[in-house]
Amino acid sequence: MGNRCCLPCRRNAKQGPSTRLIEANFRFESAPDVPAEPNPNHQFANNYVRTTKYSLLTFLPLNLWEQFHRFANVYFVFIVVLNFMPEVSAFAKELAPIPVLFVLSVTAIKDGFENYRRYKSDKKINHQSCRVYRQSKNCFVDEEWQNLWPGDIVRLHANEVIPADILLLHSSDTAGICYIETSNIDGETNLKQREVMRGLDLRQFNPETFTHTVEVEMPNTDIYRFDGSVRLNGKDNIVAIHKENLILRGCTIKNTDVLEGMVIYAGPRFKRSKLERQINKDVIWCVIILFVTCLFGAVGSGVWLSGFVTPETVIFLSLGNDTASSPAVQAIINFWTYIIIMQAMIPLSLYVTVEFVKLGQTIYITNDLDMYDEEKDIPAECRALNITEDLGQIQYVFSDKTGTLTENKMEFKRCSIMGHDYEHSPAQIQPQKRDSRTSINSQKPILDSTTKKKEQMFNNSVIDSPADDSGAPLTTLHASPMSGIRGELASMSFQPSSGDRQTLFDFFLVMSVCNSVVVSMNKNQSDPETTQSQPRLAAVSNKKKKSKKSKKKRRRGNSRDGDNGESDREQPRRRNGNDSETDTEATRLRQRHRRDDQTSAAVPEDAPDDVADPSTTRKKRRRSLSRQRGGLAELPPLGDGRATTTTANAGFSAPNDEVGTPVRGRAGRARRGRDGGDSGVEECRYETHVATPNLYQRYSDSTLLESYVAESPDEAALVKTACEYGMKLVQRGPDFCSVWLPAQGHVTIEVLHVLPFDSDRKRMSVIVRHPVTGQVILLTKGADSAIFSRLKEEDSNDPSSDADRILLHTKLHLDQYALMGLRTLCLAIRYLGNEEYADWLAEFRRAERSIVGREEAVSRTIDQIEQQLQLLGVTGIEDRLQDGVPDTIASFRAAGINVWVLTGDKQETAIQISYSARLVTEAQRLLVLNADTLAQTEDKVRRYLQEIDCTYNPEYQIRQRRERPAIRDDLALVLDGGTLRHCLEDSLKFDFLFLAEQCGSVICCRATPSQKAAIVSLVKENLQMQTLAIGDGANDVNMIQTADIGIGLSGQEGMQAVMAADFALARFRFLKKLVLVHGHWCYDRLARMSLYLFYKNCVYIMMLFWFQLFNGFSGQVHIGQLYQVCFNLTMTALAPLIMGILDRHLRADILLANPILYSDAQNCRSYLPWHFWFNILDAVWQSMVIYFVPHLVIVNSDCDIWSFGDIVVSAGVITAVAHNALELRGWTGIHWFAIIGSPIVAWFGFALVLNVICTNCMHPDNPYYVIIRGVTTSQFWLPQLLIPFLALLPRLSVRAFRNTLRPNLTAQAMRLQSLPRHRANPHLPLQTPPKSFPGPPPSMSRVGSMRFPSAPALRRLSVAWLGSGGGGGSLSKRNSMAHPASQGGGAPDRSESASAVDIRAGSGRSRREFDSGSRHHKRSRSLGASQRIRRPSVSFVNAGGEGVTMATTVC
Amino acid sequence: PIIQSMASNKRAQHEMQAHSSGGPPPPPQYPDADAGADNEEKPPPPLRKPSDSKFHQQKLPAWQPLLTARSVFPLFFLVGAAFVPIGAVLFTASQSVKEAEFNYTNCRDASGISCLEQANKPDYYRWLRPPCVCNMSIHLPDNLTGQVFAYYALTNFYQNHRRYVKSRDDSQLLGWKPGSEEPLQDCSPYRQDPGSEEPLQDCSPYRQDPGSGSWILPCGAIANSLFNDTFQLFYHSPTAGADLAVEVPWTSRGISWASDRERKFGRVKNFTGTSKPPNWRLSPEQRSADSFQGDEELIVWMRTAALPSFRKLHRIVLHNASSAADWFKDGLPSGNYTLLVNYAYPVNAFSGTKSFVLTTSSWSGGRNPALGIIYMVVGCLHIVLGALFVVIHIQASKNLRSSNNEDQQTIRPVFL
Repeated sequence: MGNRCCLPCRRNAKQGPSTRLIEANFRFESAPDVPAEPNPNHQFANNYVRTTKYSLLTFLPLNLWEQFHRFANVYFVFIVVLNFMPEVSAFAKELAPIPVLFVLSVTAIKDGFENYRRYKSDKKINHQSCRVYRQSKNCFVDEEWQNLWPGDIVRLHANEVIPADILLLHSSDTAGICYIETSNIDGETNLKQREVMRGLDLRQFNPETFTHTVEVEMPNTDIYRFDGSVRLNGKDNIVAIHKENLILRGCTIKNTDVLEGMVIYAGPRFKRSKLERQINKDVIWCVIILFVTCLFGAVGSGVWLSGFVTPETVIFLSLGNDTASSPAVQAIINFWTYIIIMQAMIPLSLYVTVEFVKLGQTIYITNDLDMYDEEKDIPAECRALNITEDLGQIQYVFSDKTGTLTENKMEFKRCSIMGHDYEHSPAQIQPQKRDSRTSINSQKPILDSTTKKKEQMFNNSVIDSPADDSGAPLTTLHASPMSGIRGELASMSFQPSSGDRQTLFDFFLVMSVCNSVVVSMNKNQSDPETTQSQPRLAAVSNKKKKSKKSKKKRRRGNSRDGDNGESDREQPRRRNGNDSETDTEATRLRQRHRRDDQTSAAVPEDAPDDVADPSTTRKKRRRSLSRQRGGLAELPPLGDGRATTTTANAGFSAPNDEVGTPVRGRAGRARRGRDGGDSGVEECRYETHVATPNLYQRYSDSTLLESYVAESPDEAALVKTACEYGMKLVQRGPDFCSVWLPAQGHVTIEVLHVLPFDSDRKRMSVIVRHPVTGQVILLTKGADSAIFSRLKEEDSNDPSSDADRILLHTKLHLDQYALMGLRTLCLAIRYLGNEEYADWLAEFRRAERSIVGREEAVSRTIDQIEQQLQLLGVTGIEDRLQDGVPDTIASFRAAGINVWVLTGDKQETAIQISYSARLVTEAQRLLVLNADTLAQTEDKVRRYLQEIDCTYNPEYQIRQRRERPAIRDDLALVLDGGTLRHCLEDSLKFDFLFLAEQCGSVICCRATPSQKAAIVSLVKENLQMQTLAIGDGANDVNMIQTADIGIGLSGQEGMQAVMAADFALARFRFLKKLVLVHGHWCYDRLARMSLYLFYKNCVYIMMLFWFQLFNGFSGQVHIGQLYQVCFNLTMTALAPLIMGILDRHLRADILLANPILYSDAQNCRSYLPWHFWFNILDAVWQSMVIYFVPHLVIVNSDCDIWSFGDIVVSAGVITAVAHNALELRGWTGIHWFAIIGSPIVAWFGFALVLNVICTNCMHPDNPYYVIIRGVTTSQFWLPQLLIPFLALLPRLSVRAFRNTLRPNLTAQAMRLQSLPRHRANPHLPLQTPPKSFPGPPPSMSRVGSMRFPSAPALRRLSVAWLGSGGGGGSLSKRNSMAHPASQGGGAPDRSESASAVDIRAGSGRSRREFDSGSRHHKRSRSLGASQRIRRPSVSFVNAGGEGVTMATTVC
Repeated sequence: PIIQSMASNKRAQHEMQAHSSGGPPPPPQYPDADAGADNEEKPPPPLRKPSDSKFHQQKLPAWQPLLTARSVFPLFFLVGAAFVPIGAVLFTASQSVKEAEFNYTNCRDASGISCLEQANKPDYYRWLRPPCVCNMSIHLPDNLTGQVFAYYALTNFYQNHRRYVKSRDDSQLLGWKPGSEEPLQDCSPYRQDPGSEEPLQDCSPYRQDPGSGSWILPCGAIANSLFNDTFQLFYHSPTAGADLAVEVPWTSRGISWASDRERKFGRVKNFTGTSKPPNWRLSPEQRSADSFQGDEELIVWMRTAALPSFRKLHRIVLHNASSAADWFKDGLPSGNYTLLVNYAYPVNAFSGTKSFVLTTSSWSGGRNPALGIIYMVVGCLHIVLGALFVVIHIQASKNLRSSNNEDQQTIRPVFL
């Protein structure tokens, strides 16, 4: 039963009919006495979810089939089959399959385990219950999800998850809409609106009457499109249904009490895991080595045999018939024998061990406390098991900005209305913020010459600008506080007023109305997730404060509100830094409201007892609304007093019966639901009446602020701010919204249209009808680029309008906000004439109805009306940087990782955030790349290339990365989306890449998701770099999936990024440890382990090979078969496994404090190509020692082959383990056990037992008593002592030699970390090994650059080359100062940086450059005393024990 | 932020400790819908918090040796200091072993015919003719004191050839398989007596069923190629006159491994229905009444040698045999001996040699100076390298010191 497809069913477009017909299921229920009519829907898949790959029956064949897709497995099976041929057989037939069976079964067990876990989670999902209408019982009964079929009519309640794709038939909402959250599908946590299909009676829904046939398209992959129709019975009528009527499986119902719908598509979605990336070219070398060895042996055997004149008389040649004794035939046969005995050259154990190791590594990553977010209770998560080591080689990091670098928690900061700048509630600024603020002010980025000009103009205009209303002149950005407006607003109403006052009012009107914010009153009660996450987030941001303080505040808040349930949720707002003021303000306001209410003739609502009588207000509202609605007949009636907001919050409304019932009822249902049984039947009774709470309660500010559920945090910030200033959004319906005004009380505004936001339009509008004048108004907010181009051409002759000045000022403010790192939105309004509107409406309706190209037509019409706008003002919203972001980015830069920011945000904002995130430093010159056309872009790119004086080679793309331009850290590239589009053109992309590659940082603004992905793949494919993409939202998914490693932040914007990612983190700063520590560790471990396994296999093979020289190349082995099998599988398996999982060469704090160490991993220092050959060579030497020492010992003795083999294999095991011990970097108890234990237990113990019990087994190498006899002789033991020392002598010497005279960074760090003084201070004085320079030092006089964080390394490096002549700078010796940047703070003064720019040579990246060998450097080095380096002296001020503030001075 | 993160880490640890010190951690509490406000204030328990053990946080205390000149040279000296004496002791032990090897490959019989060529004829090897008997006068320059062993040595004989090594059936040798049972495939071509007229026709006296091709017992190439020269050693005592030759008494008892005798070679109860290996002169029963367990020469032969030049223990000299009086009490005295060889084993086809070896033994095995020499060489190598590393260490620390003197800033590029 169920759906077997492994792709999402709804997405799986099948051949055959393009639509499916569904009828309501209940009609086909079999009554006890009537034979069931065959249900037509049962041809469709039911809702049984199956993400498992195998069932019990199919497990074995399917799993084997999958495993045999792997080259290695096929190879080993081939070996096994080969061994069955008697001519070539080298192993007993029972033994040969052991290795491959072991591998297959280990993998099978792993797969089986995973499958079982999936099965369990499936089971949990499948057994969730929902209520399905059953005719037999005449009500909705509980049914498990898996039993849903298309056609079932289900009833769902608020906060329930949708079990299948359903067609919305009825909603408890009067307007027939419901809200859903789609975070499970696309990661967006905002609420989306779905509406009941038209043509049904919205008030009454009886499943019995729904006998219509639904025709829908077949399941397909596009979740954003849906079309279908319903054939209404009785009437010859077809009603079209759209995606607005469909709710996809996995959504959560919000704000809607009850809804009913019909299942249309049932079945699961299933995400396939990424393909394994297991291509290792060294395995191919192994194949080649294997082939050569075998060929050598085969030829050798032929030659050897042909050396006998009369082979048939040679008594030890038992060749049988004549043909077999011919040398050529023997050579061919022997070739295959060699393949069998030397099969281990293909490191089978590598495949197994690597799987285990990666598993272990992921467990460690998941378990890291430093990457565990206590606030959200989210540990790091490894979603992809097989790319841990890639983390250690990241060269490019692509980061989203909003929500990734920043908190994505918006705070309203500034606004500019009518050219006046206002600052919102200036209150205490947190230390960290102050820090960034000072840096912002001190920074004067060389943006563009235009910026400077603008500044100039701004200052000029400021001088002669008149003082604004509050009397503060507009001289600085420290503008008048917005509280001044409050007074203005308090007296305003919808009565048209004049000029500025009207603009002010409109401004706030747009803020509060033009959005998709929903007022959700029962959210607090019913949504545990939101209620949990909010206080946690609050706590995160509170971290910087003294904890005592915040506790005190919380307590204060509690006592004041008298509402404990709310207190925690108050925190986010309180954090805004205006708690005291807001609160007093709020009280003041409330008092004023009260006064106003008494005087105004509007609806009385202040006193709590008003709640008792909701009907009056309701009726009043309805009257006014219906009056206004006029001729809009198509719109559904509002219903009889049902409200979107449902159960009232007991915290603020007095409980009354009506409200209380459903609460109790639901609680009761939940309890009964757990009990099971016939609960469903019982329930039917109560569910027929759903209580409706009062719509017009007088909400407290805090309640209101908490009730806003917004699509984007920006909107929430706007609405909340508007609310704080008096214009309170109280309710939003599908076609109306209510605001509360201090002067007017409740006003319901009819919303005619919502023209929603999308990233192409970059704006959203609502069209409302003025509640008083009835005029149609278009309210718009959007990005400046979208708004400014649509402003009304002001009549410049009109002196009174003063529009030019306002526009100019507004633009200046806009730029200033952006420079401050604020997110800006422009608000605009347009008053429409009635005819104008009517014309447009007609066109809009037409567009809506059009079948072909509907969306294009609609957007065209929308575009038409969003013209001739009148600018109201600009808002500035701050999105705070996450903790630790500057530090993380600085560390990455120090580690030689390029960080690119790809954001959809505005350019100035992005630049500003980049400054505060230390992505761009003051020392850097910004190359701004803004152009409109391709030609322009090309011109600019070329010009920049010329300007930075890099020899641009038009054959760059042909050179295929042979030479890499030096990174110039004094450059940062900034470009916007439009330019980016041109840059990605084929003709320009290499030039662009060439430019971008040389810039220390790159910031791409206004980038679309696909552009983000395009950039990532551009770098990944053309530069062949390891890329990492990190993001938190659905718009980052493309990028995350494109990059080599995708990281999802499980943050504000839901789970989609996480679902697509390979790793999931809770905070951006965790990335530092993930990459710098875990990545380094994983890479280092895995690299060393892989090399070791190559070595081990090679040693083993060569041990066998040398023997061939003395047995006529016959393919005989001297090591018992079982030992051969076990040599890799058990005897030497544990130690490398431990090395791969546990070995730790450097402490985490060392790695974090010295990011330059990362370059060792990044540049594959642990596994360079020559390492492989070095290991192979070493293996050859060691195997020679292992073989020939025993050989010389037993030559001319009566030693038999198996005793000899025991000596050799024993020496081999000991040497291999000793080699492993030499490779270990840190010995814990587990290491000791693995190193000491594995030869003792797995070799000696095993061999002794085998030698005792095996009397007649293992033909022909019967091991009976061989080793027991062996261990009693000195011939056995004396080589064991000697061989490891002799075999490891070269390695030991070379290692010691290098570590002493040319320590690489890791070796230096390892040496230093053991010193006691570095226990406390992890910053190590590392020296870049001079060996890295091939030939004369490259000239870096201009190409070389200031890499601020790695200054000490640079300094040493440069000094090293300068000799004593360049030294003697007055440098502070304080070690703690070594990496100021990595300690999170202080930007150096610019003059300081300027003098430091010329430091030659560089950090990890530069060295990589040098390593890459044949590079020519055109510039001669210009060195001198002028390049003496000065460092900023940085002093730390420990603020309150937690926050670290830094003051920077020049020394 | 590092400090901060460490601080927060510490805080976390502290919290954990606080938790653990105050008894078992409180059970996770889920906010109850009916509960009051107090409950809601508590944050939900960290359900997914990783364990703070040192193991999980990868903070296990670790010994982190770094191979530098400084840490390596003591090791090298130590190893050198140990290996050179060991090598010296081994070398002396090996030298103390007296051994005399007599290559008789090219010996001639009394009529001067080269036995080598004679033996190359198949019928010789198959013992169809009386073997070529050759008399070799040998001289022992030194006394062989202590237990003396007689070995035969073959060179260029590939007992370790793959097809040869596996050409045996241990079950047969254990007597587990009745004679009528099929031996292993690996034994072919010496598995089944083909029953043809040529060239095995002369085996007929030992074949039960000449026409049928019965199973060979013991089958396989190893058994078939059993070494079949026999030796007699006579001592010409200087005191007893030139004509008197005393036969050196020796035995084949004990030349094989006890474990092989007891557990790997059994008694075959019934040879009916089997053939002897074609090259054998005698049937297994004839070779030893207690076959195969009593046939120690076979047992020794069946333990295939590791290398193409090998020795096999042939006889153990009896030093207390009554017949030998006192001459051989302390070993074999130096002097002239006559070695009487029944020369039948063909080595010409593979250019091998045959030797007869008399040797004593020591705790270190036979006479083989190789190990002692290797030990001494490796020991010396270690000492030399150790000295080199001392120099390197001094040089490196000098560099370090000088760089320290220069205020850690002017580290000259170190050579090498």
